[in-house]
Amino acid sequence: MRDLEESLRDAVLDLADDAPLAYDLAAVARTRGRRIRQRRRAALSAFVVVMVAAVAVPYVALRREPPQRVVEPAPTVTVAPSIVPRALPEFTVKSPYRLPGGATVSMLTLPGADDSKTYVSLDRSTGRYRQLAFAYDPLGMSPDGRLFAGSTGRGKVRIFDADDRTVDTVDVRMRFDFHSKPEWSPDGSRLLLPTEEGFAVYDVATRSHRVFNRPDIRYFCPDLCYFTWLPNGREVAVAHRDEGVRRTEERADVIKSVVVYSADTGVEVRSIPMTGAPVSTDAWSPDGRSVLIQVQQPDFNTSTRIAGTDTGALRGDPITGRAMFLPDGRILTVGNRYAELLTADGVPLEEMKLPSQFDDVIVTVTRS
Amino acid sequence: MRQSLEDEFTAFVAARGQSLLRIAHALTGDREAAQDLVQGALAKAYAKWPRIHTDAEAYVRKIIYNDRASAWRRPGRQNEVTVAEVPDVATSDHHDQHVADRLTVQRALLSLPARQRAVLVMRYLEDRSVEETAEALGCRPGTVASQASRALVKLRGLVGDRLTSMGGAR
Repeated sequence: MRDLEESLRDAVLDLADDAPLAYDLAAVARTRGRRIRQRRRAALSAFVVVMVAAVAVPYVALRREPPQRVVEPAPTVTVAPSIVPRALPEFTVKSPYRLPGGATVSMLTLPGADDSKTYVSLDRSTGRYRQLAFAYDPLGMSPDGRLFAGSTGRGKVRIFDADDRTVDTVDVRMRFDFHSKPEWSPDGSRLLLPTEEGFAVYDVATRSHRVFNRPDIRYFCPDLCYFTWLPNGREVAVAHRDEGVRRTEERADVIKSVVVYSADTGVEVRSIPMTGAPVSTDAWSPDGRSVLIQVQQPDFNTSTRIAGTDTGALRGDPITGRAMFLPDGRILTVGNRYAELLTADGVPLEEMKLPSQFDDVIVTVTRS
Repeated sequence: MRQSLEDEFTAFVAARGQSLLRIAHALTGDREAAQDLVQGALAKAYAKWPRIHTDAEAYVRKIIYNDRASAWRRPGRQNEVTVAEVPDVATSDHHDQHVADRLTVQRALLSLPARQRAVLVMRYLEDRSVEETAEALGCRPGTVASQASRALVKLRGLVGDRLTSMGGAR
């Protein structure tokens, strides 16, 4: 006498037993794995996601601590674009490095061998940069540089200070993929954690978190799948792909909208027609009318564009480098060796040459 | 990647590759698709090996199940056989009848949506608990239970009468 479940168990075992023999799996996986890495690196350097911008400064130069110089904030108003880019001062670990528009270099990430990373962050209490004792990747740094968040790799997120002292550990089944990273709210009071089933919001003051199960987020997530906070600090946004377009690894997902969720309740608040994903929490203009988005072409090439938050209409030319809206409404881009100030509509105001110390270093810039 | 990590990856694939292929074949019912599924998962693992090597098997298995389970929303990747009715299999004696039962169930299993099939493979091949299955598939335990229940109802609808007629009990 056999019942369905017995037959099912046998059938599944038969199928498993009929599997092909493992042959050359490692070699093929290596080849494909390297392609994935290359593609990720290409994508990363193209759209410079997750709050960072690739620029250039050898680590040895930082270790050497170049002669101390007082770094003056650059002029914030320039009427006409400069013909010859103005060279910005050299970096020193002894004072905050200001960029035009009042932005500050808050962290440098120095790539090492074997994907290891070394972080040098600004200690705002002393005004100096210091090397951090940990190497999480990705690493989410709070806007004031006081706290950090990193995934432990088992779904848990550790929150700690610059001296690597644990503040809290949050077990939220954090999503574990290329784009997922902890994202601090603009005022640093909350931390958004992408999870397998939606997202969670951690409150620093109460050391508590809420989990919001939103399976639609993962379902609709495009290749550029990451969260940003809106300037109000109460809402978060993530891009949704066009489900009417067949997915394939051969082409980038087509983004249809950016959906805004309440960080207090997890409820979908509104959907904005959009052809790209907001590049970062700093990508939203102070007045809320514009957002800098990453638009991905079918061949995965990306460009940053300015989009209206009402209809998603694009304006201005594509922007190169990592872009952010400054508090005064202008746009700062930090690219490979150059930084640029733009109007809110993307009209170039001034181009600046970054110090050569920034070669091969990832620079994190915050608005102030 | 550091040589020691490269060696570790090679050793991991050598030790666990066949086991992963068994899971993949149970999920796909197709040798080529199974190999592709495992190679894809291993490639993803290789790409971030320095980060995941301490928990590599769980990571790879999770990718296999999720890549397969998410295939349901990627029409171009579906290889499910849509069957309104599972064909009869000729039988002659008791042993043959069991074999026929298993073939019948196999075909019915492969006709299920990928996510339901993933749940059944985890539960019946790997003997994973509902909670473990939910963890691997990135869903709630309740979802696993309902998917398993629906899958069994569907299987019963496809083969139940036939098994009963062949001497099975329900």
